[in-house]
Amino acid sequence: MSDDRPFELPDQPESRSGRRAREAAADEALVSALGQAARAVAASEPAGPSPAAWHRLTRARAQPARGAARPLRWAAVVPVACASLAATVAVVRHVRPQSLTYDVRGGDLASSGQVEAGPLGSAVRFSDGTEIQLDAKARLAVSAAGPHGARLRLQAGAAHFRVMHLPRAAWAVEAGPYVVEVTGTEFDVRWSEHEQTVEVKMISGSVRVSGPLLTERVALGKGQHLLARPGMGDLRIDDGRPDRPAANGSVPAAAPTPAGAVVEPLPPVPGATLPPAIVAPAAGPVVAAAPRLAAIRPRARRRVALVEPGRSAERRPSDSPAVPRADTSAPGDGGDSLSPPPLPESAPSSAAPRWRARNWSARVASGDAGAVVTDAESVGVDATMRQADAGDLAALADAARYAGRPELAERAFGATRRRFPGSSQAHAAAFLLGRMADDRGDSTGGLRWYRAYLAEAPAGPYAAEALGRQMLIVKRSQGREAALPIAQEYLGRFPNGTYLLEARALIDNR
Amino acid sequence: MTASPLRVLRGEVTDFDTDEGLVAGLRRGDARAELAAWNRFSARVDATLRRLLGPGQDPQAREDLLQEVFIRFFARVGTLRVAAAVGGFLTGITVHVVHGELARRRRRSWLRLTSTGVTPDIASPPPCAEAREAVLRYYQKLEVLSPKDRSIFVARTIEGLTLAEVASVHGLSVSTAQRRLLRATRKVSLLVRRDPALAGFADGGRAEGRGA
Repeated sequence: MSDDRPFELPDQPESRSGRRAREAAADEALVSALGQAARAVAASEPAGPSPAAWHRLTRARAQPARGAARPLRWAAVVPVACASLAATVAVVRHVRPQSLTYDVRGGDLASSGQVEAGPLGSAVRFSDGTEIQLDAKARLAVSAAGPHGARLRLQAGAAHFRVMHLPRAAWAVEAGPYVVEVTGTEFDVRWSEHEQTVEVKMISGSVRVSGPLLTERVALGKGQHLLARPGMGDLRIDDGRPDRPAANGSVPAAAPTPAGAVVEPLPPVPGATLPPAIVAPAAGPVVAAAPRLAAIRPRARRRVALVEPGRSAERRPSDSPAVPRADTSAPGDGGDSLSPPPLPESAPSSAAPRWRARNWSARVASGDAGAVVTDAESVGVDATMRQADAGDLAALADAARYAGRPELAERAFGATRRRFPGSSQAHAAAFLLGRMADDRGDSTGGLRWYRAYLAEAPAGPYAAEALGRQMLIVKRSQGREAALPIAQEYLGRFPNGTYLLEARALIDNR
Repeated sequence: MTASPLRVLRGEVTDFDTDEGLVAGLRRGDARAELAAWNRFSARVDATLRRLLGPGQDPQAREDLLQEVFIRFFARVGTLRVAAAVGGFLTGITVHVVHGELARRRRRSWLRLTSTGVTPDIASPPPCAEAREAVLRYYQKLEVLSPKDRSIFVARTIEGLTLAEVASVHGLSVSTAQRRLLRATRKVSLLVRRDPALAGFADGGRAEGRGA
């Protein structure tokens, strides 16, 4: 570093304060340069959290809060604990079982417990006999190993787990935002950070899975297969049999009857906590071919896939015991309060050509909503509505909303509901159509769509929001008394929901 | 930023475009406001976490911290007095969370739960191998500082907070924060100058060119 002090003679020693100031300035310049480099490196890395991060946050917040730190309490407890610790350590050492140990073959094991599989895969063997086969390039972290199991995080790739069924066995495998709880079984797990996709394939035994789009843990039994794409709001379970070919090669879904009534298919999923039955609308014939795949809505006991208004076979609220509504007979609802308002487009033609997936959801997620709308228009809006798959249609609807094209969004939602009835996208479309109507002041339309959503997906991801918004609309349009039963239902179902205060205020008549 | 941040595409944000509207919605517990806050701030907080923690961190671990930041933010937003300060409020929480994480890592290191107490790095292709390697070594040098000193140092020299902000976030007086910052700067500079791999930065003139 150059010294540019002009007035100091070479033979005069530099003053201590001057030297310190010069060194401090040099230090500051040095850390400033390094700080700039650090910022540049940070900025050059991919930005932003993963799409699943919000879902994980929502789930984390929904879980009961851990006890807050209480210094005073600890101050009293710590001395006692210290005094007893020395006396108990020796005993505990003899009594407590040893934590499991493990070794790795064919891969790299970091001291932190991270296993990185080699090009031919690798095997992790625990001292209780549990074995994990990692596919090539897969990464697994053993974050905590106890005497009866371990907590594992599959960071990338696929792995085959064969967990020994032993008394008190407790294993957990984290894959992205999902957690697979295991007591003893054999199964495969795959996690792709890039695709934001989790897959669990059961070979024997059972596991319980929790994560986004699941309001409670779902049990998977032998042979079942879970596929979750939380960023797209898509979660499916099937029984692991080969796909039955769909008519147009697209995602299997319930088929509309000639009268427009549909029965949402439910796969035979023994052991899973899925709704056991489907109720067919009285006026419509039951669809014979039940597709194998279906979106899951845990805790739903009965489901009715509603048809669009004006078509046929609409169910009245009194027909749907799963979703009791106290305000359905209110005047001004326009007849059947469960039937959503008309959609802006008629039924599509039956012969829809194969759609080349455009992955619009990723483009929308990256903020490129305008380009998605442009792309759809270049393909042709009508053709898009007829041919696009469920994911692209839902993405187009989102893109249209964000691009300020509500009419296009409504068309896309309408097409989603007509072409993929019973799918998670169709259910979400009902809620979003309701919110669009609600936000533009169409309380009746909003109310009917919210009710439709709640009837179709009573435990769906938007159930709390739909019920809360329904409560507010009813309160606004029909008064507190009419909204009171909804408030009570809301508090019962969502005691920590975001409309908690409004519901309590209604009940307390404040 | 080289890429647009991913956002959760739900909800209308028109009511929450302003700080006042957003904070009012958050105080009401409006889920749409929370989603709007996430869409608006999550990428920024994530970037702050990257800078505070350094390169090569486990993305999952960083996402856990991001969650922690927002959980605290939603829980404490009621204490925010000036809505316009919501950005700084969030940055303060982020610094606190990182400080806690570093202290936890140090405790883990002391307990020998890992060899270094540092979350294992996930290999990822560096944008510029030389600069990234240098920055990685630089962050390793910072491990000699106590968690609080490191937090103060990084918040000031990398995150770019003002001295007053650094003092406020860490609950210190400005003079104390300055004293600790100077001490940390001196210690880190000494270590950097002794490291041949970081010699280029010590030359000063070439420093800026290496960062990009």
